[in-house]
Amino acid sequence: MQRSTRETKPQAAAVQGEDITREDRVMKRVFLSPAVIVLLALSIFPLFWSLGISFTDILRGGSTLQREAQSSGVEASGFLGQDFNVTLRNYDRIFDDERLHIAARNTLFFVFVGVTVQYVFGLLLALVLNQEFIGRGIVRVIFLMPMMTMPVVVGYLGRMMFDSYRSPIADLYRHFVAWWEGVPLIGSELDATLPWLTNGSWARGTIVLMDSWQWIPFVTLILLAGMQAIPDDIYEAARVDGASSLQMFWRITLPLLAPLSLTVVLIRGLEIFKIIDVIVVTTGGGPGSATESLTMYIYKTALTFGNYSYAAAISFALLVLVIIFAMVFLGLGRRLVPRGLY
Amino acid sequence: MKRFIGFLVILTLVVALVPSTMAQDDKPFAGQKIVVVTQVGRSIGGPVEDFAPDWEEMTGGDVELQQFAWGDLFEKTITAFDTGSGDFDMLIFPAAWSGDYMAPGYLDPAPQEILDKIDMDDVIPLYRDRIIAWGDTVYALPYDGDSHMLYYRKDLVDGGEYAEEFEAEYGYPLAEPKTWTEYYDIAEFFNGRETDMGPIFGVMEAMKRNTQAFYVYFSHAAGYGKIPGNPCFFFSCEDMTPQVNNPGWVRALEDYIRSVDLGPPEQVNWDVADTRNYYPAGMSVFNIDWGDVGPISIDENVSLIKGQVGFAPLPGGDQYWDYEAGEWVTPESGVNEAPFIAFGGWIIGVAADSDVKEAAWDFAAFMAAPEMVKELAVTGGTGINPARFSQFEALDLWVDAGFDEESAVDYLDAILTGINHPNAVLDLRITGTAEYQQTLDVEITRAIAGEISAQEALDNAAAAWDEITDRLGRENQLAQYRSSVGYTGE
Repeated sequence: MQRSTRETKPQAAAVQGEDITREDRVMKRVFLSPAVIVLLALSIFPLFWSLGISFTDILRGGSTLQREAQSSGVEASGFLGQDFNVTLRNYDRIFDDERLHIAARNTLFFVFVGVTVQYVFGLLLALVLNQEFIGRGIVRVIFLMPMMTMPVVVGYLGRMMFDSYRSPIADLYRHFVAWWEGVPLIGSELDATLPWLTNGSWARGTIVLMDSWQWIPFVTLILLAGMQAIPDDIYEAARVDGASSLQMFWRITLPLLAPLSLTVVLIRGLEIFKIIDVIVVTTGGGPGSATESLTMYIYKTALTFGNYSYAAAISFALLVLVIIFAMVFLGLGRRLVPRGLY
Repeated sequence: MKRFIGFLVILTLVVALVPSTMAQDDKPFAGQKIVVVTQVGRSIGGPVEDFAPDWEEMTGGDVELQQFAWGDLFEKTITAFDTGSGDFDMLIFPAAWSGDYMAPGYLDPAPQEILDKIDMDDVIPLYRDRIIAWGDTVYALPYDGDSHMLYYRKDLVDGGEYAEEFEAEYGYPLAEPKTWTEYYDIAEFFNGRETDMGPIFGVMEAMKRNTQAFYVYFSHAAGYGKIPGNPCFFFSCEDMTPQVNNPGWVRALEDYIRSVDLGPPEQVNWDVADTRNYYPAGMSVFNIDWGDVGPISIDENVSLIKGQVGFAPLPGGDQYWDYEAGEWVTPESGVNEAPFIAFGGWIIGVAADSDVKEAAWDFAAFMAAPEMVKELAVTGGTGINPARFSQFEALDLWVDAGFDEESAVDYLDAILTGINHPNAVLDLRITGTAEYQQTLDVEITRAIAGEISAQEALDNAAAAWDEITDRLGRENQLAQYRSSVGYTGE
C-alpha cells in the first residue's frame, strides 16, 4: 500500500504537470489567436486570393469571358460554372511583355547601383560621424533629416534641383562651364546644360541619386551604431601591435560590421525593389520607359488598366525575384561574414 | 379653457418653427458636404476653390475639393467607383473617360431641371450632343470646350524683318503655317536665332510621359492620318484594327521626334502646365495647346509677349494616308485640314453612389452656369475654354479681358474653325480609353527618347491596342467606337 502511495505521488505530479502544460498551451493559443487571425485576414488570405486571381482572366468591369458572352448575348460559363476562365495566359504574357522586361531591368539597376552607392557613402559618413569633433550632435541630426522627409517631397525637391535650366545645380554648372572654358591649355567647350532627367541613362542615375540622398542617413545610422558597439580595447590592442588606421579599418571595423552591413544592404535592397514614389513625381517613368520600375508598372496595370489578373501575376513574379535576390544575398553573406558573427 | 390652452400651444409651436423652416429653405443644403474631385493645380480646380464659398454661402452646403495629379486622377476615381467606396460626390473629368464612367453606370443621369438651369441651347452642338451623353442619356454638364490649336509669334512670322530671308531660303513667303511641312520650315529657320528677347527656339511641345502630352502627338497625326469623309481615325470601323501604326501616324511621330531638336531640351519632361509657363516668356516661335494659352498670353503678370501671339487652327498634312486604299493621297487644296478636338473638354458629373446627389447637381449647375463659364473662359489659368455660343458672340468680353480686337477675333476664329470643321477628329471615347492612351503614351515617349524607332514604337502600340480590344471584347469595343464617331456604315 505504501509502495502504491509512493508511486501515486509522482504520478499525481505528472498528471498535474500535464494539466499545467495543457492549460498553458491553451492559453498561449488564446493569446496568440488575435494576432494570427489578423495576419491570416490581412496578409495570408489576400496573398492566396491574389495568387488565385493571377490564374484567371478577371478585369475591371468583368472578365474577358463575361465581356465576350455579353457581346454574343449568351450567358458566361467558365471555370466550375463561374463567369471567369482559369488560364495561364498572364504568366505566359510575362515572358513576352517587353515593357515589363524594361521595368525589371530598370528596377535591378536601381537596386544594385542604389544599394552600392548608399552603402559606400553611408559607411564613409558613419566613419566621419564616429570621430570626436565639435558640434557632432547637431551634424548627426542634420544628416538624419532627409530620412524623415516624405519620398514625394524628395521627388519634388529633386525636380527642382535637377531642372537642366532653372535650378541651383544648373546655375553652378553654368559657372563651372564658364570657368572651365577659360582654363588655359585644357579648357574646352562643354554642353550648356546637363540632361539630368531628360536623357534615359542620366535619368536612371538621377533617380538613384535622389533615393540615395534620402536613404544614406539610414545606412549611416545603422553602421554608426555598429561602430560604437565595437569595444575600444580591440583598437587599443591593435595600436599596441603597430596597426595603421587603414589596417584597423580593414581588419577590425569592416569585419565586425559585417552582420550589420548584411542586414542594412538587405533591407535597402528589398525597399528599392518597391521604388515608385520618387519616380512618379520626377519622371513619371520616362523619358521613354527609362525609369519605369516594376512596382510602377504593376500599379498602372492594376489601377489604370484595370487588368487585375495580370497585375497579380507580375506581383508574384516580383515576389519570386525578391526571394531569389534575398536567398543569393544571404548565401553570399554566410560565406563572407566571419564564423560566429553571422 | 383646455381648447384655448391647446390653441396657444399650437400657436407657440408654429411661431417657433416657422423661422427655422424659413432658414432651412434659405439654405437648402445646410449640413451637406460635397466632395469634388479633379486634377491638381489652378487649372480646372482653381475655379472651384474660388467660387465654392459663394455657393456655400447661398445654400449652406460645404464643398471639399480633392485634387490629384493628372497621371493619378483616373486611377483614384475609377478605384473609388469600382470598390463602391463613395469617396467622391462630384467629378470634373475629361470627356474622353466617358466610356469608363458612363457606360458602367457609375454616374447619375443629369436631371432635366438641372439641364434646364444651364441653358443647354446655348451650348455648341458638338459639346451638347456628343460629349456629355452616353447613348441617349445625358450624364454630365458641359464646362469646358477643348480642341487643340496653334500659337505662333506673329511679330516674327507675319511679315516683319525675316520675311525676305525666309523666302529666299525656302522659296515661299513667311506666314502662318498651313501644313506641318511649313511649320517645320519656319521652326528650323528661327531655331537658335537671336531676337530682341534673346535666342529663340523653333517649337515648344509638351512631351512628358504620363501627362496630357500625348494629345500633342495626336494633333500631329490628325493631319496625316484622318481620311476626309471617314470619321474612323484611331481604329478601322470595319473590324477595330488599330490605325496607330499606319504610315500617316508614323510620319506624324517622326515629325514629333523632330520637334525635340527644334525646342528646349527640357521639353521632353514638360507637360502643358510647363509649356504654359515658358511659352508666354517668349522662348519659342510655336506652341500647340488647348485654348488656355490665349488668355495667359495677354496677362501682363506672366506674359512677355502680350499682343505678339497669333492664333491659328492646327496645320494639316500636305498628304494623308488612306488606310482603306493603302496609299498616300494629296488633297486638291494641298492641305488635309483635320483639327483635333483633343480631350473634348472637362465635364461635370455626379457619382451615382453619392449620398448628396441633389446638392452635388446644384453645385455642378452653379459651376457650369453660362455666366460663370463666360467669366472663366476669359480668365487666364482657369483651364476653361469657350464651349457656348454666348462666349463666342460676346467680343466685348474678350476685349475687356485684355485682348486687342484683332487678336480676339483671331483667337475665337481659330477655335471655331477647329470645332466646326467637317474633317475634325473626335477624341477616343470608348471603354478603356485611358489604357489605350497610356499604352501609346509609353511607346511614343520611348521613340522620343531614342530607345526605339517611330515604326517600332507604333507597331508595339498597335499590338497592345489589339490585345486591349480583345481583352475588353472586340465586338463591344467596335460598337462603342462606331457610335462615338457617328459611323453609320454608309
